[in-house]
Amino acid sequence: MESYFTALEKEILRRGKKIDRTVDHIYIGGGTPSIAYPYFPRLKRALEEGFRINADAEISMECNPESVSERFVEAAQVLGVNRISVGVQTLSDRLLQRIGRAHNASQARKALSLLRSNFGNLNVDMMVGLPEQKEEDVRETTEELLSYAPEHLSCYSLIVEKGTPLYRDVKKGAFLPDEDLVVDCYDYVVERLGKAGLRRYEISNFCRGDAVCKYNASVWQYADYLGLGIGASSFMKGKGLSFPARRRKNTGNLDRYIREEGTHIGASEMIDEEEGKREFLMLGLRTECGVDTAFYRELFHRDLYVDFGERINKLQQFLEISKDCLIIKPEYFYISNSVIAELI
Amino acid sequence: MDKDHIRNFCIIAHIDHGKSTLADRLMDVTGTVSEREAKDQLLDNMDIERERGITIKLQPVRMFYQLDGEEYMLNLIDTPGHVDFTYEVSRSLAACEGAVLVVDATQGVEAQTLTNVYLAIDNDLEVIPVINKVDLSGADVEGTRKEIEDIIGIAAKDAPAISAKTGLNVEAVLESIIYNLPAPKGDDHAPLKALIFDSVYDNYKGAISFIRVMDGSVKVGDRIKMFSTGKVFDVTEVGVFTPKMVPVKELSAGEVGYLAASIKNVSDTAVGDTITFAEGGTKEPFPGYKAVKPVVFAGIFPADGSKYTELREALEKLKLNDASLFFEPDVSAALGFGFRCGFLGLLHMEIIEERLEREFNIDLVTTAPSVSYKVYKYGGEVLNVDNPSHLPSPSEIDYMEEPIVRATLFTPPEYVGPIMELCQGKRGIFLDMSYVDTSRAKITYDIPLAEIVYDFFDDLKSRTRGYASMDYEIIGFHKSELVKLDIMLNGEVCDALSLIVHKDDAYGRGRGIAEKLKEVIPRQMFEIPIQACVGGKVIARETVKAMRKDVLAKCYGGDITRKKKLLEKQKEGKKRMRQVGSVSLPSEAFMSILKR
Repeated sequence: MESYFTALEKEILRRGKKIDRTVDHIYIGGGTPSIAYPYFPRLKRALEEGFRINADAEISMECNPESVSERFVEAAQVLGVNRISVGVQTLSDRLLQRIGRAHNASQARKALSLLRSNFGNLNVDMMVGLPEQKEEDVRETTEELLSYAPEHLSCYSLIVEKGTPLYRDVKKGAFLPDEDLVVDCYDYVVERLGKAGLRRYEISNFCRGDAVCKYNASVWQYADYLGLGIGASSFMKGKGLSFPARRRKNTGNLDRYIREEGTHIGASEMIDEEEGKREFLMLGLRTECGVDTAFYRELFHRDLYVDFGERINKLQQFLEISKDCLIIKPEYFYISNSVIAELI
Repeated sequence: MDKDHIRNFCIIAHIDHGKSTLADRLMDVTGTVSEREAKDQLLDNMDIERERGITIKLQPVRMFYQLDGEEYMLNLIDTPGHVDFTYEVSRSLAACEGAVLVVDATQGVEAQTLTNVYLAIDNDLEVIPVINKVDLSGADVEGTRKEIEDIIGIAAKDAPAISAKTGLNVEAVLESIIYNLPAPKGDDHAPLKALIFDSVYDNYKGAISFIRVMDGSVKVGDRIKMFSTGKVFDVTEVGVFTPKMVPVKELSAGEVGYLAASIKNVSDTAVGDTITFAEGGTKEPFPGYKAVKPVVFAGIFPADGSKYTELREALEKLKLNDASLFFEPDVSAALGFGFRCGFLGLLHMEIIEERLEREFNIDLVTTAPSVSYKVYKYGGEVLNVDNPSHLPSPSEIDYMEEPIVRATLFTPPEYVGPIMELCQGKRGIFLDMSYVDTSRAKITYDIPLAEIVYDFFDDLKSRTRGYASMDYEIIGFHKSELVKLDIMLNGEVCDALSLIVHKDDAYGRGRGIAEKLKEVIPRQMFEIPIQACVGGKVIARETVKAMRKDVLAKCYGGDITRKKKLLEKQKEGKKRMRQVGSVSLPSEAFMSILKR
């Protein structure tokens, strides 16, 4: 880890020198940053030296329940973390085992208490569509998570990735809930969270008031972001909001990253205007505010409805069309992928 | 070589009993280079044929063998083994005087053993049994001898017991061929009479006929004519199979070889046709020639519309080597531009479709196969319709006729019941039943061709554990109460799903198809009503529910590229489906309507 952080510091300083913009938000994620807490002071120093950071910046960090300790909390606070996100998924030990998570319900609860009492902005991740998960499981977990009064909650449906033990289980016949059950569970979550004051502002994200995750919100609004560290992604438009924009990902190979101090580029994509429009739509349509027509004009110097009018017409049934924005109707959020695929 | 020292034979066997291995071993022993060592492109087709469970067809090969101080010429001719190609099989057998029957000593006499033997016997071939795989631990040589005698009814006491794999006793097979098979007959001095039993297309030499010379002889420069068409050609090359094609000066009575005459079109080298001299040729052709006519029709469309030209070129290439493939351009409202193709049968169709997909790499959408109907309109006009969507409206139709076949089925007696049940269920009319011998019953039915065309043969095989065999012949058209069954999706008729069915079957078929489609059509953004209709009346309906959820996945900074790829894949997947109005149909939908 020592060599990793040394390389990371170097990358931060090097990139910071080249960028003269103020940082609005910081997101620290990519696995379990919580286990690296002894290095947080060095990280803080490097970030402050390399970049001009807005005093109101949201500094958000992810953690896993099993690595939440008092020392971690302390180090995070010193680092300036003002928003904490914990991946609970479910509070059923049976299901946690089923999906091979490293924590159990008791650890999750301890973590939730500790984080709640130490941070003013808490997000919890949960999942539906888990193998053998029933509606009661979802109800119980949701209810209990709400008891911690989180400002923000993310809820995803399980995606089984090739090559994981779960994938093999499913191939062998493990029982995944059917489409209708998953939708029913999700409907329940949306309604219950709504009653608790958490509104759905993005396909999978809920918050109280304006406690959106500012970093993610900016990504969905097509803002620029710089990724630092192994496997981190960056997205930068040209000067003056011009295209082509560049999307880049750091190498995912630890040895390489260390050796090259994060200079090696794992993957890079040039986004021209046409591609930019499609991305802008894809991201915007995930949110409750939809696609901002004014920003569309600012970025692409064209009218959204002129460019996509025909397809928007065909998909009228699913869309809320207005002068300022284009939004997918909430009741069709479930099939947003299909709507978006048809549109772009 | 004089005729007494020639033997023309084929090898017949149930699948995997060792036909190809024996052929290889015979070639080894006689010092002939094995065809498989000279890697041939034909092997690709063989994969497909092998998967279908029909015997792999090898090229003819000429071997020489010394026995008792005399040299003999042994010509091995192979046969395809499926009822679709019965005619081809019979012509290949007609080129031989005998058949070597290979039986696996660990399996005994099996289904295809019988069907092949009966075919050989019916073509007047001398059958000599050979017992194979004696090297394996489960081999029961004596038991197998007894089975051959009891079940087939030919003497097996002296049948050589061999192992084609190890080469054990393979010489005994050659000896048996020489001693027991008759030499070919034929008049050397009569005008040329040669039987075409196969043909192949060569880019340089044109269509090449594989021939068995019955009478007379042929050499380069001879002016020949094809009996069926009267077309005249000049012989550019004659030769033999070693198995590579090697030219010789002359082919004479009793010999097997090939003939090239700058023939542009493979339909001019029709299987079963007779070749003779243009001037002073033989008066009587070799009997048994039948003009090839397609029997099963299907629409073949490229899944990707832009590949239409590739598909056309692929079909043209296939036709070069396959005179029995017919095709003409066709248009479907649902499937776009493609071709209406005619085949000898379902297997022929499946082989062509697989070759198009595998060898030419074209994704296809195919409609259900259909037959050709005679439509008698009010006002006297008679139409031949092989495409259900071309059927005129019911108000214009006086009556319709469908092709009927006379099916002759051979089976062990214990399966007579299941067979009769099968045929009755297919609107068959019982004609006759008799016993050929204690082990074989012969049943004759008249059955509409449309009922046979899809899965009759497979059904027959499964009901009789593979022991039954079938031959059929179209005997004419009979009047029938036929109706057009239409399928509507989201209120629109999908022309590619229409079928012509018997009025009594309409309700059952309609309901079955609606149910099958409901399973096969993926949920889409809209609810999809499926309706089966006859004459404008809905006779069955199902509904595909609207999609309630696609994927609720994350999409954060690092996920964007991957997310775009997923959306692309979704769109690609949709592209591979056919759009019928607002509904996306996977290609399986079209064939699924046939499964009952």
